[in-house]
Amino acid sequence: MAIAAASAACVVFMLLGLLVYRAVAASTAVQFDELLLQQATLALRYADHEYREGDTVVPASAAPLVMPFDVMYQIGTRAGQILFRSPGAPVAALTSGEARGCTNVTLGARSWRACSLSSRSTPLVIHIAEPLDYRAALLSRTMRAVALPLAFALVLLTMLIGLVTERAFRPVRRIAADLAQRSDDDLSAVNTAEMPVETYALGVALNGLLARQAEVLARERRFTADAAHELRTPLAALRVQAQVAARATTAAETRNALDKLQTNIDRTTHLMSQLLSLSRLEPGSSCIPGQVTEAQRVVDLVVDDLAPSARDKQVAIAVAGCHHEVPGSPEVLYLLLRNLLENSIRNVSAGGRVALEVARRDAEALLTISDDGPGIPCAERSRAFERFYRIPGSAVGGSGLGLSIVGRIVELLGGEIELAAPATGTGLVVTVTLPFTSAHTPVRSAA
Amino acid sequence: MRILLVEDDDMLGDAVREALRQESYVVDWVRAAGAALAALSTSNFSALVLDLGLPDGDGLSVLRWLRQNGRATPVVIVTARDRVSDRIGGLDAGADDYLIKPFDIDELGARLRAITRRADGCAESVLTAGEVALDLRQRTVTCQGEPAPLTAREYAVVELLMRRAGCLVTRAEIEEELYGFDDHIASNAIEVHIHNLRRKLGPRFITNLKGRGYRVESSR
Repeated sequence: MAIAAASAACVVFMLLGLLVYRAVAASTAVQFDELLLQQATLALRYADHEYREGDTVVPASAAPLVMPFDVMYQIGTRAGQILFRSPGAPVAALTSGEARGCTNVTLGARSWRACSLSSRSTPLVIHIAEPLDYRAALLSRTMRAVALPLAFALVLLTMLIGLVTERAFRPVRRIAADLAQRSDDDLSAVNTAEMPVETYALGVALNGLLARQAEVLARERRFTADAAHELRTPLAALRVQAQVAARATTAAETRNALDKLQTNIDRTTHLMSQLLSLSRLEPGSSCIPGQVTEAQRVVDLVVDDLAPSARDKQVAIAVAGCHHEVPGSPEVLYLLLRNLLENSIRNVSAGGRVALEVARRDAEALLTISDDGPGIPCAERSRAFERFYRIPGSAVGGSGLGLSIVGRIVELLGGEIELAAPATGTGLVVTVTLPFTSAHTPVRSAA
Repeated sequence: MRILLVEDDDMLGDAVREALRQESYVVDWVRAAGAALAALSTSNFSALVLDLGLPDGDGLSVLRWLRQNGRATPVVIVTARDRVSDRIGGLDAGADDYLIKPFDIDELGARLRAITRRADGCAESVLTAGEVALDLRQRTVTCQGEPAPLTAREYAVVELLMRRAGCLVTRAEIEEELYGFDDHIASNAIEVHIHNLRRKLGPRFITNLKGRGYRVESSR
């Protein structure tokens, strides 16, 4: 950036030099012409005097006027006749103009500035000329005198620019050095003190990002710690069960113990899957806004996967309205519906009723999952979405994560979820509302 | 020996109960702090296996209740809380031992033996009374050096009487030691056990204090 500023300064200075040159050139030309015309006026006056006296303008004697430098002149008539020439002046008239005026003429190898002046009282005309070199010489002397200060100023300016930018970006460099030598998980804020206004915004934005990342990291760590903690109990069960199996003395005991071990392993595997699902729904996971899925596709999969456990309990899952579209990707919808339906199947008694209804209301999709199991008491509903929270009295086999997953999905889709009791009898009615446009702040409510 | 198992997880609770029964313990299993307090109010237990993460409160509340009421029942905490601060907290609250899940069931067994031994003031692992020797670690009984084949309940009776050697043990206390909440007790079950023990370990081993209870004479 300093280089760009210095380059700009150079260009400006060059432009300045050019403008100065033109100004000086113009001004010197005017002044030189003025001087020349003054000399011409003087000579003409003398010639007029001689003419009125009756003398031929200039006697054979040497020119009475001594001109400075190499100025030459011709005294002549308006008609074009030359009566007198200064030494070295050409025979032909220098200029053709009759009135007062100056032009550039070339005589031989040299360029001259020639002016002519007509007398007002006599028919005399004077042509006067001086070499252009003198002007050029003066111009170059002047420019040389100007150039030195300009160059000095340019150098000074460049140095100042360098100094200022160096100081201005010192805090930025300091921050860069700080960030470079940090450990991987150090997300503390950078020091924005002494930052100039221009880079302060960057510092603040950086700190904002660091804070958000630290929050994400902390949340992931909490999740991992929670998950590890929750896995201890199932693993303890597996360990003890294995030792029980090893100690069994009869084949029947061994068989029994190994069956229990298998069930334990299945249950722990289920917990693992739920944890994985939940971790994938954490912030940073992609949930493409605006994606919609036809409910039928997902419902078919869910019902198919839950068929064995439904069959074991002679539970029939009634579905309706699956031709509707629902916001969300097939993956998250599968998780949502599967967890809710699985909970219902697990909690109803044998032969119980589980139903899923999909509906459309204005710009929202409504998913209603109901069952005739024991339901969730009012007091428990606010805690029901907590991770690993098992509602007291709920059926065996859950991981405690189902509603957390459901809640997280609803949050990601910008929707709402409500837990309620049915109008008659016992049971649970879960109503999920998902908007078809992008997210608004989610609300979980317990009726 | 009668153990109260307080654990809310079904799989683990079932497995631990099974394992402890294999070691001839009588196990009562409850799944919540409230139920644990109810059980402790009504019965005496030789030891408690206490989980801390209970659905209706912290297991430490059960422990505190015990200690505040002057009950010295040995308690081994079995929990997923693995921080050093948690362990210190548990032991300071009055637990006799602290195991972190997952654990070795053999180690649980050994620790139970250790804490119940301490409670009896008995540091040895072998109890003797007359010609009968009881090995607490192996959970075996020998009479005159010969191993005596005892059923689980018979062993439990012998262990109880020998731990309280020299002291009177009432019929009710023996019943409490032997039977959990869910067990049916036949009306003369204790007499049958005593009778069998006399047959196996000698007639003078157990003294019947008519109407009051039983006693094994101390060796000392």
